[in-house]
Amino acid sequence: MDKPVACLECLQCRRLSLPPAAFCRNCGSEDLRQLTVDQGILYSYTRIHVPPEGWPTTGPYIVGVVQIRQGTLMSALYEGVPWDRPVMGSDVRLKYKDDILYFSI
Amino acid sequence: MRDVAVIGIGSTYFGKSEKSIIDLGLEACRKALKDAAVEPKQIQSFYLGNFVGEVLTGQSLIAAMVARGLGLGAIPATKVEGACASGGIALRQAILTVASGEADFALAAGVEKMSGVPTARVTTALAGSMDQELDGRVGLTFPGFFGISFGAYMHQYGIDERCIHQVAVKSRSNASNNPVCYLRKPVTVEEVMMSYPVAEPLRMFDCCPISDGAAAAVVCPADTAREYQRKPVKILSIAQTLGSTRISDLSGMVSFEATVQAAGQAYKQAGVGPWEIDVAELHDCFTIAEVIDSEDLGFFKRGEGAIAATMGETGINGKMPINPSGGLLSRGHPVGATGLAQIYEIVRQLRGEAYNQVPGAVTGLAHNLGGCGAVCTVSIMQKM
Repeated sequence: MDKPVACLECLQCRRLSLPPAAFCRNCGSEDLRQLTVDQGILYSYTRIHVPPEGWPTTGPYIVGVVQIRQGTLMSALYEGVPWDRPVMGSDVRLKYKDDILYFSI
Repeated sequence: MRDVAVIGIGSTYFGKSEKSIIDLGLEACRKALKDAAVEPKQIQSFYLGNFVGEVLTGQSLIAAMVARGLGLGAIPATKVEGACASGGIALRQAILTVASGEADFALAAGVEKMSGVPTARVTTALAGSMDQELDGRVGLTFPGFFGISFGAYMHQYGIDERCIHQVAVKSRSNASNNPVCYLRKPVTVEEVMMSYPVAEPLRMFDCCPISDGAAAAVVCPADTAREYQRKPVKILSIAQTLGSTRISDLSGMVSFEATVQAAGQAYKQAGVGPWEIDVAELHDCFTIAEVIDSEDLGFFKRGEGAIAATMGETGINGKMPINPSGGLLSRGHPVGATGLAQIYEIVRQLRGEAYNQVPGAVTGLAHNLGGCGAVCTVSIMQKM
């Protein structure tokens, strides 16, 4: 099932923390508010040919890092085919599916 | 706090070994004790760095087992773990225990046994130092993390990938003279680009090889060091810092804050600047890592590290010799051992005994990095 991407914004230092986080990971404040994110900019990506043990596919797959608000980076699996060539700096969409964060062009 | 010096070093050959993890540790420690002309019973504290030993070999309690095998006395024998910076942490603890006056002789070692298990299992074990709730879940591996860094560096600075692959060419060229190294056959940029695409744009030859090995060092107070070693090396500083443990802790992937902070502390404490370092062993787990490290440590300006490598400035006779040993890329990266293997090389350089001797080296630096820039140690040493 698709789910929005939840982040915690610190009301003291304004940095974003990704769950799991009980406190702000930058300053330790408990003064947090939840916000959802659904888009960002593709910071960079890699095409992985040597997956970890137990990974569902043997073929290559793309993992990207997406920059959301205030420069916060998030790692996400690419939803498209592995031979695509996503463009760094382009706008991407983010969503959770089966507890895995995906990005798509 | 007392000044501390390294009086003994030891290393196994790095690569694939038939020896057990304990026997590798014993070999390196035994050599370090002999080099220092110190008896096992004189050691008053022992620290051992190890990262994935328990996961890959099933052997735990490694520090006690190595200590017992050496014939050390009823002393503290402690294993420390900070992913690939475990060795650097072990050295720092040994230095602190001598500096504080708790011990007059301390032994630091690092060991890892990684061969003989499937690559996928090693990949998983190493990825264990990434946040499994976040970055692990999307299939990110360690080469993947640095593959992303590689792409980001090229994009941000407009650098051709060949300039980064060049680091591997320099590494193999150095390693061809160093018998400790695992991979000693020279390569060209074209061969690097044709090697297997592990995590694009990273190729196989951009990655350090899975290896076995161990290295060790004996430390004592600097004022008595000459009684045991003709060419002691003084520790000017050793800093350890905490950085990012998840990608979402990072604001960019072309610099690691843990390195920047550790370097700043180490330079300040030593009273030297990056321009006064004659030789450095950096954490080049991947070609791109050496480029980033060389900028984070202040040897080159941002975005100029790869160009400097291409221009030969990081070669043995360059302006800033980096990884004359061959580094992790060619020596191999038995993850827990690397921090001490770097000390082994820097001490040899400062004694004037290295295989790729940097002429007249007086001051050296070692940089050890663990996780996604999570843990870093930087040490600065000087010929006495």
